[in-house]
Amino acid sequence: MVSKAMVAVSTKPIILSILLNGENYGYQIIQKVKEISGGALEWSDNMLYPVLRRMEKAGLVVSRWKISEGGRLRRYYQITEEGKKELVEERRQWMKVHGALTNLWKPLPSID
Amino acid sequence: MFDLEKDIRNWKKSLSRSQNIEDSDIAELESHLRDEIDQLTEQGFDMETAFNEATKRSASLENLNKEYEKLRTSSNRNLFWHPSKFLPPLVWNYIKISLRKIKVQKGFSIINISGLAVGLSACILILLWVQDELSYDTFHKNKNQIYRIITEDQSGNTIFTQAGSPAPLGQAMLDSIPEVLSSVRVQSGWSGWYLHLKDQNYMTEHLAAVDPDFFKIFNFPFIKGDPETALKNKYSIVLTEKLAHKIFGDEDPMGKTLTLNDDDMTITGIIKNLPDNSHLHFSYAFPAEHMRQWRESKLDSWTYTQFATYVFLRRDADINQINKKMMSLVSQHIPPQLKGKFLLYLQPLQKIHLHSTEINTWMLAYPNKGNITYIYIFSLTALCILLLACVNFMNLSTAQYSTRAREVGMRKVVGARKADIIRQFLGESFILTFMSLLIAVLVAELFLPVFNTLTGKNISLIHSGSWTIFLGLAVLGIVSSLAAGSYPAFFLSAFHPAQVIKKRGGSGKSRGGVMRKVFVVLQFTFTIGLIILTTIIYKQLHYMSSKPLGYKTDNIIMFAGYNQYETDYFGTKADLLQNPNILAVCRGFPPPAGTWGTTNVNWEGKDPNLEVKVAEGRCSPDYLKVFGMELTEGRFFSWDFSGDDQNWVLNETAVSAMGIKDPVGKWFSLNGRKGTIIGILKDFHGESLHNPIAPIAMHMSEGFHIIIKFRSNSIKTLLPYLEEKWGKYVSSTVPFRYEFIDERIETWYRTEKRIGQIFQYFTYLTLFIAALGLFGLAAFMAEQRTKEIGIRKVLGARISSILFLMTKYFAKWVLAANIIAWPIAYILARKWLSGFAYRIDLGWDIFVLSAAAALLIAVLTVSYQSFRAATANPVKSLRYE
Repeated sequence: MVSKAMVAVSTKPIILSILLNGENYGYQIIQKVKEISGGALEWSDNMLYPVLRRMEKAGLVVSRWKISEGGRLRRYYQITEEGKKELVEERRQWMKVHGALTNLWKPLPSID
Repeated sequence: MFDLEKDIRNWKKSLSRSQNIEDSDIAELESHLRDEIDQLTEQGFDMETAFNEATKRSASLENLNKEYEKLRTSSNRNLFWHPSKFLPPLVWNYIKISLRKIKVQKGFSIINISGLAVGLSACILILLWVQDELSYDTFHKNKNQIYRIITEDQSGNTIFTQAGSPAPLGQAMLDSIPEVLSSVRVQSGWSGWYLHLKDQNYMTEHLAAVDPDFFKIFNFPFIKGDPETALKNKYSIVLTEKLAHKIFGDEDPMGKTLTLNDDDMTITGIIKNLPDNSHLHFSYAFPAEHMRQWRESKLDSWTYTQFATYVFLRRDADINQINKKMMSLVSQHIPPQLKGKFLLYLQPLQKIHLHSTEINTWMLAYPNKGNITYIYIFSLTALCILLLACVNFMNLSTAQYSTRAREVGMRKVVGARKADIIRQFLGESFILTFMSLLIAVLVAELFLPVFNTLTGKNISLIHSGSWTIFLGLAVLGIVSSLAAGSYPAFFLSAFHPAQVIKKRGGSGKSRGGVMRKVFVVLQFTFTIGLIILTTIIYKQLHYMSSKPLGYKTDNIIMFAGYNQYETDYFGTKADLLQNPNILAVCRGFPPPAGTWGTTNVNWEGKDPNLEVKVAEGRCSPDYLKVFGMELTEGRFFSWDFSGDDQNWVLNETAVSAMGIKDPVGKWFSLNGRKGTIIGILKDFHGESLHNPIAPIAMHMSEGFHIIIKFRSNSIKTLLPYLEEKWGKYVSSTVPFRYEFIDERIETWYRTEKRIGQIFQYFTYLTLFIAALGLFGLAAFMAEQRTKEIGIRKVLGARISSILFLMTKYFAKWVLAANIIAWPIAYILARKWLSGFAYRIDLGWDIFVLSAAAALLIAVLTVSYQSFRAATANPVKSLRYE
């Protein structure tokens, strides 16, 4: 499992990246994250939705309501231009950190 | 049986209790829950387990609350005075949500609150005034058992109703009618009596000449002395604490002596200062017996009606019976020729202040006689103003539907029932109303001094500390918020989620448009009506003050002709005329120069069946020199004709009423005084234009007042001169008191002037509220039509044509309001004007001008919004989609 701090800091870039591929709603985002992390990241609803609210407030995403064929009401999110710019910046920072760690960890000495 | 929907509803309900989770969040979380349940059921779980599992996985309420709370910047929740600590969370929630909604709709809210606050403050002031008027004489403990005897004198050709009654009647009733427990005769309110202590005189104080039981019947609390016995002794006198302090300072006045007209009176009681809401108005009281010698009051005569009689009846007394018995007593004692001409009846104490407009109450002089009609009018006005403000509120609230519709739809999706939404909107209007009420109270308090001056009262609001007032305010707030908030609440809560979420923005016909138009028309009808009425009032006032009266009124001063002015008229007059600034001096009564009329008149060739009431006037020959009336026939009195003191001068109305041809030279007698008619005066307005000119017969006599015509602009030096002469000819201790004729005439229309001013304020008020409402509506309409206007502009329409389009829309309704307002205003104006014998004509110009004024204001109000809409960038407004 991943520490709370790491989950917290990775939420924004992950959401923005997922939305880069298209419109999505909360539940689907949670499933996607679970899938691509191989089960390591299991986001709960009480974590995700407030974050989405915050991001919308910050102008990184916009939401709209859609009624599905079955009559289900869902809130869909889209990334904005602002959000895209933010993602670029996030990626830059993450790559910096990643680069530093990669350098430190090569060659991988046997730890385990 | 497991009910998924029910459980979900309950789950949502528990979420909605949280303060930080909004309805849209709940909808999102529900959506998530359902997706979770779907997945679980797909995996094979049954509904119930799926639900339980899903909710377990979903966060606990506290976590959710905390997470969402982080979103809100609520740094001040820890302050100890923060309301959330005192109020139950649900109430505080409502308040917070309402305040947030209000903040979001800042523009509308401000307009709403201002309109409501202004309306409420006017309402408050009016209701305070009404309350004060209704409170007159309520401080007497026996108020339901006290009655005043009213006499209707039908002996002349008009009915003369007065508050005086035969002097011995009270005692006779006491003797023969068991239900009558006590009776008193009263004269009060006027001053001028020679009350003094050593060399200080108090002639300006108001007296009350009363029978000894006065303080037993009426409740004027005694600070010192005993109300039962205070006036038992003929030479006793009772003072108010204000007068006692004025005369004696801090010394104890009890037992001390004051001189009243040469008699020594002992002070036997001090009463508290009279409250303002008393029709009896005096600062000292003494036994009426003294009037026998001081004014030759015939206190034993059944035809002497210069005192008012009040009776104190048993609780179970039958008023009709007593009226009948009273009438029969009077019939027994009055001279036979007057039998059947006098009608007496009892007037309850509580009705005296407001229902005595037709009754002559000269013997109970008090300045602020009320009128029940005004109570009705002003109460109705208060109601109308409140209605107007509420209508405004309704209009503006329903106009916001486009912005609130989504929110309503959302809440319904989340599971809120119509009742909940209605409750929320009512709550919002409640809060808005109470905010307006607070502002209204402050505004009313601010206006109180002006209001008190305008109405001649002493009303207090916040300082009154009266529970009834605060309760009344609370009731006002609740009633207004219900009245104003109900319709919008029902209107807004009727939205269906589907129609709200699918549609995007929208143009064209707005919902509830019909009601809104009705409201605008209503508001402007009221406003236009007021403009018309106010204009008419002012026109009539102007007419009355500028209509020639038939004699001069400027630069004339009069004062009482006491002492040497009386005993040596010629000498004092000659002395006065030495002063070059004094142009003429005469003696008598100011116009109309007469007291009420009598039918005891006779003349040469009189038809015995004809009854005419003629007023008797007294003057001296120089009267015409002072006042400048015109003669149409014959001559006026003159010192050169020694027999002139027996002769008569009549006015034109008298001649036509009597039907005499060639009156000059014929004989005439009034009240037994016979003489020759020597001249006829052209009719003049001796009384206000309320009344038609009455028949007057004037004769020479040692009339009461000295009346002087002086040179213009000389009054500054003249007053001290006259004062000096007064000191020389009358008294050096009694102060010199005088009156200017033109000021006297001003007072005729004092009531009307006041009414005019009040109507003026009302007009401004309603205009403000109506304009405010229109402003908000125009804003709304502009917003609604942004797309339409954008398209028009793109298609090449000019700004002016768009402006025209928008103003035309509203102008239609303002004009419609005119159609309703005109006839109503016309009828009311006619009714009011019928109270004047001389009045203006109701011309078309008044109505048309008022309509134009209202239209102008409406156009100006709307034009601002129209202009903004017309000049908005079409690109922006069309970019929506």
